[in-house]
Amino acid sequence: MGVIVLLILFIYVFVNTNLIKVEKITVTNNTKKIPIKNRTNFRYSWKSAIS
Amino acid sequence: MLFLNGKLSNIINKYELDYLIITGDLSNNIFQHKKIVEEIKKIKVNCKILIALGNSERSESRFLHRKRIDNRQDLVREDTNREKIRVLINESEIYNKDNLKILFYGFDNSIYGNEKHDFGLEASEFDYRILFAHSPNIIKFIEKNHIKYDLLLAGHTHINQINIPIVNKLKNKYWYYHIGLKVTSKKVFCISRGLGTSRLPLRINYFPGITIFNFN
Repeated sequence: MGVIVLLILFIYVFVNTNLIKVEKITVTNNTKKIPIKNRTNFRYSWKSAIS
Repeated sequence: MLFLNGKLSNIINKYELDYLIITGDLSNNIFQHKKIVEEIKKIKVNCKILIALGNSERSESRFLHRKRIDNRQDLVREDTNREKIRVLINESEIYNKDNLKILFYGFDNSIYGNEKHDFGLEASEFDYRILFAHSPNIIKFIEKNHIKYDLLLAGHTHINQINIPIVNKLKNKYWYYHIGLKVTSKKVFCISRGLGTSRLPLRINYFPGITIFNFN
């Protein structure tokens, strides 16, 4: 059981370290006008940033 | 640089890029340096590859040991000095084509305090001003000096590399910086998650990533 858990953890960390994700973001004139408050100290995902 | 989804150059070459901006930390030590420079040379772009210096270009790191060196930045410059590759150390590059004028400016904050700005550029008109630096701390310099920008790119934090809730905030000195984009009025500040690792060669809870910006 312990070996299986360790193996799963190893695979999880290995994939996390070695799989590149490519994000595409389109910057338009509208992007500049998005009235989002200053978000210092606030973490949010890539997906929510620009539609 | 082999990742699970292929070589870095192959992954990037799938997209037709005009500019590729690398915000520093090319390698942890001199042994990795040559391989990475070779990989960068294989990347195809329409215009240029722009590189800012990172703290790893000023130090030699092996596992937990880190030693300050002073000549790596010259090595980066010599090795990458090609027609399509430019290391910007407090320098600018201007794209001017098809009625589109874009300013690229690379700050050198690989050592804090090294950053300088060409304030003469502030008076010029550009469609987009893209600034980049290694550490996101550059935002303090930019805000202090009221430097104009549309897009600011930084890296350095590796998005904490090991993201375990609570531990993350206790241990990480950059926890207050955002992940990815922060959009304020008329400005976009992007902190890249980066591709590599520092000290411990692993990432937990955040994949390495590349961001592609498409300007319409």
